[in-house]
Amino acid sequence: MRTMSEVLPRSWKEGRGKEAWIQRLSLLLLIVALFIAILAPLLTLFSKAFVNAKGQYIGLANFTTYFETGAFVQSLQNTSFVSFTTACISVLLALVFAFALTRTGIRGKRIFKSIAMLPLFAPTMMHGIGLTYLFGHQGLITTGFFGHLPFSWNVELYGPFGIIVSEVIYTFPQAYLILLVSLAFADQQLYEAAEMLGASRIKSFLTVTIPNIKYGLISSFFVCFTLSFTDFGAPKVVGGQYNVLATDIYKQVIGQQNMSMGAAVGIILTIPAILAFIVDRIVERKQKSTMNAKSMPYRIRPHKMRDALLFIFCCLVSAAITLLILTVFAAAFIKTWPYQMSFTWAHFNFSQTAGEGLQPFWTSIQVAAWTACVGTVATFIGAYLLEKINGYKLLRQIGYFLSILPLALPGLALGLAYIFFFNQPSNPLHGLYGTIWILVLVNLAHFYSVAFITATSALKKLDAEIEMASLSLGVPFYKTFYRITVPICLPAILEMGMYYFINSMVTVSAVMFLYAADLKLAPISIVNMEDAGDIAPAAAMSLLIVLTNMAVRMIYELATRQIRKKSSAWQNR
Amino acid sequence: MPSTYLSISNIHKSFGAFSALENINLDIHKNEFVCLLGPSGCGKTTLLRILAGLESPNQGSITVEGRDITSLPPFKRKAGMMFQSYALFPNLTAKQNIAYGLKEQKMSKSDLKDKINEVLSMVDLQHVADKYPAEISGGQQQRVALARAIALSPDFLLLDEPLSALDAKVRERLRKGIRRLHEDLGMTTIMVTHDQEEALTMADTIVVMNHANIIQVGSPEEIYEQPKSRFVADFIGAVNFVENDHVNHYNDDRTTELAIRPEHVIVSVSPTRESKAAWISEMEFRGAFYRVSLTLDIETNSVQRGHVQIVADIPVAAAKKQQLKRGMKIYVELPHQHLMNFGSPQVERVLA
Repeated sequence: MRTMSEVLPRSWKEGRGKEAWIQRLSLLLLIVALFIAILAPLLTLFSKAFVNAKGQYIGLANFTTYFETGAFVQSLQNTSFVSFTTACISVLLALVFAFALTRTGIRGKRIFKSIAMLPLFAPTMMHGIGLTYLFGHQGLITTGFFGHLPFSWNVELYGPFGIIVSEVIYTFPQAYLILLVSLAFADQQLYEAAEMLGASRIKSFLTVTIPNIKYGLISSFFVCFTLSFTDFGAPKVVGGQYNVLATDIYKQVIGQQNMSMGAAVGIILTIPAILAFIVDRIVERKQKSTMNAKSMPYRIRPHKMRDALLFIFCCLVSAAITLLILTVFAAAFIKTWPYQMSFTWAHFNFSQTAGEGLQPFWTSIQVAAWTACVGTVATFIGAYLLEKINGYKLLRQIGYFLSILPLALPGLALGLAYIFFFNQPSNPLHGLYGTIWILVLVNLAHFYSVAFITATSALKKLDAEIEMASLSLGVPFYKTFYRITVPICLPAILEMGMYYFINSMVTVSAVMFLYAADLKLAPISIVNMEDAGDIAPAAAMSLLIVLTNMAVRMIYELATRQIRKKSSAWQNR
Repeated sequence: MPSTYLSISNIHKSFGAFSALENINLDIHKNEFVCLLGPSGCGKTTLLRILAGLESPNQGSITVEGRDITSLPPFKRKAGMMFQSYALFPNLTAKQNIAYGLKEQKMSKSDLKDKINEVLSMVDLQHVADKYPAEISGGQQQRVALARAIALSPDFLLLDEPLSALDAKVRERLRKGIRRLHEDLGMTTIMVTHDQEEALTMADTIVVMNHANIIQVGSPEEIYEQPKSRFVADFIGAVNFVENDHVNHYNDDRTTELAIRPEHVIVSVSPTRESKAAWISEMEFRGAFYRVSLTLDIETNSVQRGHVQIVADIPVAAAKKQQLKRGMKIYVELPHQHLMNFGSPQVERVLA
């Protein structure tokens, strides 16, 4: 009997050799790229936290100073309090909202779903700006609709209240999306079993529904906590004298140029994110599907009272989000709130403000577009290499770890890390510093993990034997990649592109430290305008960002509708 | 004849335009083990769910000992139910799963404990009492689900395809387990299955269903030996259909369709008075017997000219003795007493 290699034609074997080289090389390239974009800057950040301004090693002195400075400890407490409160409120609201959308027969689910996503399209500064127009000294609600209402409601907006409300709006969609997935699937028979055993509706909710979404609850809590812990935009606008860690870093680095103290605060800022990251990994592993082939999909049972109450709840939440955005919308077109309530386009002429014209907006679009294009291609190929290539186990594990590591990195810490790493004149990549490419790169690193997970789960759905089959047919892997894998994963690829674009349009934390004077981004110009008191132009710029993102989202929806029809034709029977 | 315990009369159920049950009437005796048997989509599960109270009929009524329970909510019916997916609460241990319903009863702690232990020992699962469903095997999960269903001492027990998620070997063992439990407790049991073997081995009474209707009710022997329709004969066990003029048993002009089970077909190497010539076109080894495909060499006067295929089950020893081989010419006899007659095929097709 002849051996396999004797049977195979020579050209085929040579082809395999070439392919193996391509695979090995791409995998190595990927890991080098991840190392440069993520790990190396991070290590630099850590090393900076242990040196003084002159670069001498001082051990934990930065941290000791930190914990001995009353103001710093106070802002750590403030940040923890705000984040904890935010997470509790946000998860609770999101739970009820997601429950209403998945487990009741209320009307208007589609519109509720769309409205719940709106806060994702805006930079967090905008939530603060909207609140200023509602609850600030001249706010719509504070003044009782400028005295037109018999009552008014005056709250102390600037401080914890303002921050918490902004952060709840900011984190609500994130928690809602996680819980929506957790609540989407349940075995109807579990509920029927509980009913046959005499359990009341409340008991069945507590013993069946809640345990079923336990991990979703934990994970959404940590996500909300971390997001709010590391957010810079909202405290900047409505924080007042109430200091939090994110604004501390800003003051240390931008204000006092105290880089090593900034690095120390940056590391402290990373702690909850790392905790969240670890919890998420554990939860991921524990979260086993209780669904099996014999399960029955959940059936919504009619219940008028429940539906009525939850419909009102959803209306209230949606109204709150809509009101906030509409207020910003109105503010952008009103001459001088509240004195001259006439219409004007003037706020969109940014040349007279600290925002320096419309240029930041175009720069933002450019950066977002590049991040979306480069990011999507790079992430998908990266995920493919890690998911579909056989062998090189160690390399792939390192690659996987580096790919999900950014989940544990707040934007502020990443931005700082990037200055430290790329600003060294000895770094051969120093040339990137001050160009838009470093902004694209930092966004890519910042948002890499979520896009990577999207790509990986799309790839996991593809049968591993597709690669085997193409091998046995003598088709090289890269041909199968673009003939089969890419078309099937196209919806996921478009989603990744949209995710990169929208997030690059709204982010401020990472790019804040990295932009060059002539390359300001739209969210940064909002911060600057707001700082200078140009609130209405800041509202106008926020509006431009929101509208751009909504347009991109709509293009995505239209495009995917067509593509889904076409590329999912094979799924229809 | 024992008196009727559970009575289903004139039940109709439709889901939109789809009719799931049409005019279902059925009487069940106390302590009876009834199997609802039929292909998927025949309405058997819907009927079970209506008995459980998880679905309400559009028409008709259900009475237990004369008491109308049609509009009672599930729990008030005092029915125990076992679900296809077992529906064990994944976050509770086996013991806690069993205690789930018991805790709704006002019951003292020690009574509760005793009851749990009693039920656990009935299904022989004391050793996994503190394990979570994900930590025990499929067969054990099935028994926990069964224990949970009987823990409340229900008036009747409803089993929805209780064995379908299990391996063949485990399934056979648990069949006996369920049957034994039924006998020990004397609980009226209604089980849904699409597996004819399960129904034949476990049931006192089989209710064959198809297309939202009850086709035949009877003991396993009756259903197997005297199927009243082509559908029942075909659905339960293997069967050959032959036209009357191929075998000439009835000397009338009617084209009658007859059926015979493969094990009743007699095969011999030499001709007899009643036998027809045939050759072996295929032989399939089935362990205890060979399933032999035979092509009858019949000069037919019907429209379908040509050969008639039938299968015969021949015990291995007999096959060896006669040295049966593929392509061999033999003689086939279809004994009169084993032929089943359903009337003309046209009428039959409408019924089935």
